[in-house]
Amino acid sequence: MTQFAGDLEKLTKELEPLKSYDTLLSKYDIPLNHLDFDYIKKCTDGKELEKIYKILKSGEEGYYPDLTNTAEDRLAEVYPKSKLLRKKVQVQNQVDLDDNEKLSITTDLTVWLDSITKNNKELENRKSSRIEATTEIRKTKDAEPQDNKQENPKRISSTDYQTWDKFDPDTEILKIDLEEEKLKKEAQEREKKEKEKVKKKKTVKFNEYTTEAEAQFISEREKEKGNEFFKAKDYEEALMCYNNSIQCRKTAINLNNRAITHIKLEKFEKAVDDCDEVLILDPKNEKALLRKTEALRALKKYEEAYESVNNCIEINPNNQDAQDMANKLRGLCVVPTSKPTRMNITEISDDEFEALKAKNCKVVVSDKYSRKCSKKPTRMIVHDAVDDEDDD
Amino acid sequence: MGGKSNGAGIVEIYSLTGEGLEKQTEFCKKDYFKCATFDASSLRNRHLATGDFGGRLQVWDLEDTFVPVYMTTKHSQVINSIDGVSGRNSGCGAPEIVTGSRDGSVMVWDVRQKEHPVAKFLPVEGNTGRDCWAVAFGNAYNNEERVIAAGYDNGDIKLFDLKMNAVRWCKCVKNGVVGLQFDRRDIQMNKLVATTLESKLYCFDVRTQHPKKGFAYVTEKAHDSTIWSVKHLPQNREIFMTTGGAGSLCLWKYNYPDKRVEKDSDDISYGVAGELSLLQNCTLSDQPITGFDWCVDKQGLAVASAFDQTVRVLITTKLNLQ
Repeated sequence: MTQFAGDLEKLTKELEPLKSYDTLLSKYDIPLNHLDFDYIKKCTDGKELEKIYKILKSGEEGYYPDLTNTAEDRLAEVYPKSKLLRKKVQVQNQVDLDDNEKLSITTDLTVWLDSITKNNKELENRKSSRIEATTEIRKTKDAEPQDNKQENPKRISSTDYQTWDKFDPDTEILKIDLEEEKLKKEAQEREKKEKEKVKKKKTVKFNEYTTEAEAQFISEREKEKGNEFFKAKDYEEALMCYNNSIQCRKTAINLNNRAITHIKLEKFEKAVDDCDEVLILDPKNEKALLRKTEALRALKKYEEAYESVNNCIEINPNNQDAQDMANKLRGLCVVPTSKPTRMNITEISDDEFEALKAKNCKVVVSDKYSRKCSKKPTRMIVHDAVDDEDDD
Repeated sequence: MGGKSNGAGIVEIYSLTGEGLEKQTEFCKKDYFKCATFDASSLRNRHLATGDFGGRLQVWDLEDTFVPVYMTTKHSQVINSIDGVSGRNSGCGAPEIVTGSRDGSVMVWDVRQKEHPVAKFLPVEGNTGRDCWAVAFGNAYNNEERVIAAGYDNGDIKLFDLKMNAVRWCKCVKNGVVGLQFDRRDIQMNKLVATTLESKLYCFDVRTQHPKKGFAYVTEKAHDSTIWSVKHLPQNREIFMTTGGAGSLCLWKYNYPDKRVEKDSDDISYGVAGELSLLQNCTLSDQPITGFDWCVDKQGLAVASAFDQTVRVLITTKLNLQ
């Protein structure tokens, strides 16, 4: 019985705060006149708008659908990340979709199903009862029991005065300091180790896959992993995945991705090589051409870069990126005209110089040379020569 | 898969055709099945590993289900959770299966070694172990490294390092952990998502571990019920789906912070958690959705099973835009 009484007491205590339950309005301390169209439209405080929206939705102050909508719209404007704006929707059934969407989804799916069944057959034919794996079975070690709590065994009880007399706070503090120092060192060492580990990790040799389907599968997975690393800006890891992917199957896509990763890692020569390989597979790959341009520009081979970007424009004149790039490169190329030109420089003797002068030809005297030499300056003639190749 | 009213366990195999789902085969066994995975099997073998209410781990060849390819009975109670690793790809260690059971133990199996687990993590002797509800493999980026994450009914999440054979990290998240998954198994561990009772989900950045602070994490409230499972999209590890007890599905995206690693005053680095944004929240059923899986080959294709005894195939569009 007594236990019952105690429980009852507890219950009533728990219920008490409920009795004094305030409306949301007073809980959030928002004046009533803030529940107003004008105020809400001008309000810029996301948190306050959230509160107002909650009050309006609760219906405690009455039901105002228009005002609630206004508050919701304003909240979406001011504080789009608000959790209150998260809405539930019903999953669309096949019947609800409009015809175009349905058609595109079903055709996409059937095409994929066809290809996957083909792969499936190939895999099924090669089914083996053996379970092959290159790595060894893990050696069984006696697992340590889980150490749940490591309590301090030498806790001195508060009434144990004798022990407390022996207790020296200074040495204890020193101990703690030393412990912390140790911890710090350990952490730093571990960090170093981790870094080294990352550097030397992955000496993976991908074995030859028995089926084409498997190789394709792995190549695709590795590419996806690479893309993820790339997005997270872990370029070293991305490169590793793309390498694996390319090792399994070479495709324009994974080579292209490796090229851009090389660019990010500032290994421009390798990027150019990758792009060239893509262009062998697919000579009209715009991305590869653009990436090649970018890499060549970083290598300061402006003419080659310009050539490659022009190829890209030729394939797709509407490529805005290519146009921008071409404009930039035009400024960097030695001769700013669209037609590349070559300068011919010839040394001439004094007599010829006089003759040319008479002919009113453009003659440049190299100043540096004249300053250094005590001898008479050599004169050079500069011809403007038009290259035979036409790039435009 | 599941149980029939007569106490038998049943597995049904469906295949997707142009028109819809088509039932291929089914097989019944003595005990209810609780969990299963294909992940420790190669593309060609496609062996299904199952855990049942009798504590049995069985591996089945789906074309010949009379006797299992592999069987152990080391767990004394129901196997709640199962996960597999490196069946499909080489270069990340041996194919292994991990099981977590109500008896509180977590065991790792290699199908080439009969009867004995290759590693086990048991509760402290004398204590009754906490019910292990979720297990997941991760960090298998080369042949040696590998960790297991295990979630318990008291809210503990433990990270077991299989190379060192020791507990690497432990954290209590207040509510029982129902679902666990690393964003990828075969990379250096990056993110771990844990879903719990009481509609909470935790996303840990497990790249950098600080000796005192541990891992950085971000937490979210969703579904207004137990969050049963979490599954990362195979084509993009930053996107994952959580399934709720009220039949709802939430699609999330993890956004990295500007700088993932910072240094503290002692020059030890610690992780910085990013943000989670909800891409889609939708209801599929009025019963809890307990099973969910993405298709590895086709982006956006997924399958879900719920307590209303229906299997649904979903297509999520526009995932590539994220």
